[in-house]
Amino acid sequence: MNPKLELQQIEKSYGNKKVLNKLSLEVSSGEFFVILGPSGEGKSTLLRIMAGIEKPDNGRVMIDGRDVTGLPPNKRNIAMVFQSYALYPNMNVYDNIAFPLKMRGVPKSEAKQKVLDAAKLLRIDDIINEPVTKISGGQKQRVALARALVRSPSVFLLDEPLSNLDARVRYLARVELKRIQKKLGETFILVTHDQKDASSLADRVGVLHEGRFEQVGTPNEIYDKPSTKWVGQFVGDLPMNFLPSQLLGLGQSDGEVGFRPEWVTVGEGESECVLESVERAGDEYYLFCRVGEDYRIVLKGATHKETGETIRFKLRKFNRYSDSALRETAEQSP
Amino acid sequence: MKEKYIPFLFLLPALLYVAYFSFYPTASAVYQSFQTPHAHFVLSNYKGLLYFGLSEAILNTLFLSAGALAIQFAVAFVVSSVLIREFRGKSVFTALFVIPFGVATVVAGFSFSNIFATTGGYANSLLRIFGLPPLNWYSSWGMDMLTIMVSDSWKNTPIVALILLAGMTSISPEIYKAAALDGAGPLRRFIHITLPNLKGYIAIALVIRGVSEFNIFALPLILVGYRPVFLTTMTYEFYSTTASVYYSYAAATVLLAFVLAFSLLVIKMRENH
Amino acid sequence: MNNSKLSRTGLYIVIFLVSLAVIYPLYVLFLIAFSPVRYTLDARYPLQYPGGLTLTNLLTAFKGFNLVGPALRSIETAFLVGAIALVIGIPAAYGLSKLPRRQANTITTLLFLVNMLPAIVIAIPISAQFISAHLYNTVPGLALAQELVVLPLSVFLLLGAFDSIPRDLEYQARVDGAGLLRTVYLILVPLAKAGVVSTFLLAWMMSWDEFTFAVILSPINPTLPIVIYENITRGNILASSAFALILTLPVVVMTMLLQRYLKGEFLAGGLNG
Repeated sequence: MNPKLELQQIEKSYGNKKVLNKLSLEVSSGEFFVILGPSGEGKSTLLRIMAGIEKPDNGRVMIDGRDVTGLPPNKRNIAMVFQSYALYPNMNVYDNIAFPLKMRGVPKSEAKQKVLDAAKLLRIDDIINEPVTKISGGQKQRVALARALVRSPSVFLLDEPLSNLDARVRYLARVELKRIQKKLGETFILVTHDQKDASSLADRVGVLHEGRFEQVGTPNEIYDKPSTKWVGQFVGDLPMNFLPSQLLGLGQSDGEVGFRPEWVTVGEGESECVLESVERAGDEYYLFCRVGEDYRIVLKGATHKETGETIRFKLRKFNRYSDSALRETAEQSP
Repeated sequence: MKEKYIPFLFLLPALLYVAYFSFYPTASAVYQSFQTPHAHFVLSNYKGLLYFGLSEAILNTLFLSAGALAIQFAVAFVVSSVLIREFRGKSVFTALFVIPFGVATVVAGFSFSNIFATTGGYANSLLRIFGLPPLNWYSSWGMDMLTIMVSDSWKNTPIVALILLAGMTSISPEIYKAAALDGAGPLRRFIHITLPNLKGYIAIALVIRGVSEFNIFALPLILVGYRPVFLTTMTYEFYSTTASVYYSYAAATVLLAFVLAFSLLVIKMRENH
Repeated sequence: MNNSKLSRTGLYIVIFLVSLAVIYPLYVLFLIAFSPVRYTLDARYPLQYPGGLTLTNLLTAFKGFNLVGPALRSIETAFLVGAIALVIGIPAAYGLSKLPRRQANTITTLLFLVNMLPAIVIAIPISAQFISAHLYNTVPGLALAQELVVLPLSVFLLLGAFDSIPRDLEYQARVDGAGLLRTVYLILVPLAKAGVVSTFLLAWMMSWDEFTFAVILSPINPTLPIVIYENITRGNILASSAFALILTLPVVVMTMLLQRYLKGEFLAGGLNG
């Protein structure tokens, strides 16, 4: 079956800087795909190329099997939500949501129904007549979403739509966004630098680094099996720990071992480290330790020791890496 | 791709307009200044102008421009130094101060021709109140020049002051405080902080006003008529009175040459910093 | 402490003197128009205060001279100039806002270069062309010529207005299905309303004041400035005072309104280059 949206070998440079480097992607219909990456590394550029606001230097954009690379945004049947929400300041909520329908020449009565439906879905029907300059950040975000929904486009593009919300509202907004996408069954492509957005919203995540997708997989895959060292250190509340396999007595003369803080059992085992500082993590603790002279790792455990003390730990689960690329994953029996 | 050229498409009406209504007539005027009914590329028009007082017109234009600019910039600096501070009634003063900018040049000419009248006039009655003797404001070349300079500066100082003010507001007050702490008095602060930072703005104001001074037309016409002669009034005089329109083209071209030379001068000076 | 008190008094002295200087010529206009002639023009030393107030001066002027004709002429021309400024200027400013900064600055500078070419250099060749194009002595003809004075500043102001609109809004409109033209005229222009209004008013005012093109291109049906000039040279001072009042009053009001808009646009707009 045709992917809903496909990127083929997209390249884009600004001056001397190559921002997107032969990037390819296939997004399936009904999928919630999240593009995750550090700020300023081309995520927004990628989205704008999908939307048609910018043109790639090379490569093709296909939507619904059609080559749209040469088409302007208004001919691609996509909807987009910007980080700033881009609400038309001189109109009220209703007119903002109705605008795309007005542009398509949809008759007023039909449009009215669609606008009200969208408003109800996003629970903003009570402010439908307010000028958009007078509503809260969270409400603005929902108006932007309603405006995107109203047209039934092929693909929804969202550029950091949650970044401007404060933490509390953000959590609720995430839940709601996922709910809406599931309910509509539409294809969503969302760009963010926030891990939590990726882990809670995505069916699949594309981790963008240096102009390419370093890994594309489900949130669990990129968390448990990061395909490169960089991904392992980027994804997660805390970076994945990396130590030379020798230090942990795991044989192999070269290569590294990667493990998440919670993949260890603290208090037993043959590996040792010196505790440098402690941070509370729910019922347990993050233990920031030093291995030998040069390596720093974080362990998660119930034990609480004093700084300066030696801690013993044992790996229950780990990944082997050589040349920074994942070679195998392993579990050790307790 | 097509996208790249769209901005130029939007610019097209403006560019076409400018080409047809500005560059083409200018080129035509310069071209025709070298023509006579009998010959095609001669200097006889210019030679004729010299006989009719071209050098005088040039000197008058230069002198007037220099004097007017001096007055405008001096006053503008004072006023913008005032406007940069806070005081009661500031918005009223600002609104008041800008009014001359909106008053038509002819109206300014009207008022000042009644203020600076040959006999009587409001300036003379003012002088009388202070016990001073009356002046004949058109008795000499110097007085003529002064009259025009003052009238012109009345109308045009506000715009210079606004430009300088824009520049001054961009200088952070902390620099002044630091300098004051280091012992610099107000004059030294002005010379070493204000002026250097204003260079760009001064250049802009200088070009805009300087060129306008060269082009000054209505005020001399109303206040002094055709004598003392300026490049603009000379051009108009030939156009409206004599049979030879070519002389007016020649005078116009001389004016154009000075305008261009002046602008290039200011730009060059700016680049050297 | 002594220093600041001294400078405070100095400040207020300057403010007082400048305010006086600004108002005086307008005050003289007021006196000549509304005071009986024996105190103003006929007096050897005109009174500095109103000797009396009368409307006879104005009434005589209105009866003896055609005030309505030139006033209408000026109004028509000014509105046309304002309209053309928007018709040409809005697309031009939009195009410039899409170009990289350096190219946009070059073109803007080019437009201001246009402003510097002396009006008298252009007006004379244009008058010849207009005669054959049946535009001589017409409102559209004069408006097209006066546009030269107005266009660079209009584009500059509109560019500032467009630049201040967040880019996302334009992208959003395109994504929402608006083609380029609808995006510009349904979304961007309404958001640039302050700039559009300021531009129209400024263009209107500059046309209202304009002299050089008017005197050369429309001498038979003159605009108000030309009529004032003619009456001054013929010695009809009272008539000119009446015309001058009609010319001035709307402008004084508009300048004060504009001043509020102008300061914001001027500082925020294209001075970033």
